[in-house]
Amino acid sequence: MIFLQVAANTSSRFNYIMLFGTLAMLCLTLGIVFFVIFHQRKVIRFNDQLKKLEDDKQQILLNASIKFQEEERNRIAADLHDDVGPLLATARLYLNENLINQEPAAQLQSIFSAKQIIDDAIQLIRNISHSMMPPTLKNFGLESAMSDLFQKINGSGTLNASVRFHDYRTRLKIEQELLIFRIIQELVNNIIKHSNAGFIHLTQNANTTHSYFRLHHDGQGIVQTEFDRLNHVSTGLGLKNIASRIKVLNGRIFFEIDPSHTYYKVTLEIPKDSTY
Amino acid sequence: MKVFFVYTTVSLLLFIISFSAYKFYPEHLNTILSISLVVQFIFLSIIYFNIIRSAKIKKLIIFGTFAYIVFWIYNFLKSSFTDLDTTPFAIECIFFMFLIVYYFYEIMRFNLDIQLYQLPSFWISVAFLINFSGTFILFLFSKPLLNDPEFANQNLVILSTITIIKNILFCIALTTTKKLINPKNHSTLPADLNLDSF
Repeated sequence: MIFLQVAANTSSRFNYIMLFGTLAMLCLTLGIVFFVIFHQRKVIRFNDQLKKLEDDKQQILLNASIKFQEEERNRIAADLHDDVGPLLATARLYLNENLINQEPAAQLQSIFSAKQIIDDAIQLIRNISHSMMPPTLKNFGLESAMSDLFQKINGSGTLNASVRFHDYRTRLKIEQELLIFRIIQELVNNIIKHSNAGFIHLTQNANTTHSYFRLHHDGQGIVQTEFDRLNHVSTGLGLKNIASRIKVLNGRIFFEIDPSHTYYKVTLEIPKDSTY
Repeated sequence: MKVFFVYTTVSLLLFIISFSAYKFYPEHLNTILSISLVVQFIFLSIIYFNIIRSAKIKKLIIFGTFAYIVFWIYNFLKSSFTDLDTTPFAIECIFFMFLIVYYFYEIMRFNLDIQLYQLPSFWISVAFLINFSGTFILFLFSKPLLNDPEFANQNLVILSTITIIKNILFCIALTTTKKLINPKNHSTLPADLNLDSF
């Protein structure tokens, strides 16, 4: 009935068309706006889930770090107990109370043997100590320690390794240097073990706020997504240690492949004023 | 936001001029309304040129604005000024509805750090989208009905409602503050720092 009345009056019909047309347009607009809002909320919820996953990852890293510390302590304890302990016990045997009653030649022999054993023990303790804090790093800094490490790798003859520090006039804190040394050591170790590379080059540069380190190698490397994925899996302690050390340094690490696809790059960004 | 402030100030001035013309010089009202239309187009183009990221769409905005100005001048010169020509308004509606929908697409795709309702540009866009979609059909088909009193009343109700909604949304836009959800993880490595020569 209404439609018939509307049809009877052209003006009214136009009015209705325009009214409904306008309402339809407004409904469409509101539909678009609500769709955008709900989609955005969905994306933010997804980001929150990602953040939660990131927190879980941090927990895994923390656990890995604790586990690593425990393993390190166990290794040192084992070295001291299994190597240094028996050596000192043997030396004690040579230097027992009966030594005074022995022939001078036998006494001399016992003292000489005890001296040899004590020298071995000193060497062992030195090795353990060096594995905890490389003396070159402590005395001469990161540049020398890195050169030392790369010279040793180069000396093997299977891999071309070189280091170039562009701007290292001001040394970082010793704790920072040790962490960077360990990270690079682990990266180099991984490259040697897994990548089948022909060369490894380490470069360093700095600006007023950050120190940058970049490892280049021509082997089979990984990119950032793979590093992130490997960090989420429960196996593989090395990469998790790298990530936890980077976190301690407030730094960042980027795994990339060169645009020419001829070599991989691992870049470390370390803030100079890290609170560590 | 600066452009938006200038736009609102200019809109207010144009409204005062239009109102004065309506009262004292009704024969010039259509000319002033037509000029206000092109001013609005230019300001909106500047706003969306600043907030849209896509280089292609930016080029489209520049091209569209020039094309619109040329069309408007042609239309202005050939019109008799006795009737209000609503074609430029319909073109403006279509152009900006497209730009706003594209802008929504961009913020859906790239804006992951800030809540949508904390963006002033979002509320401004919603206001304009409601304004354009609400008045598009009205202006497109209004020419034969301009002298119909029933239509005039209905037109007034719709336009007033839409203007009130638009202004409320503008007020919301002015009160919103940006708040970052997550800082982005970008490299700080300067482009000129040499790390690649061995």
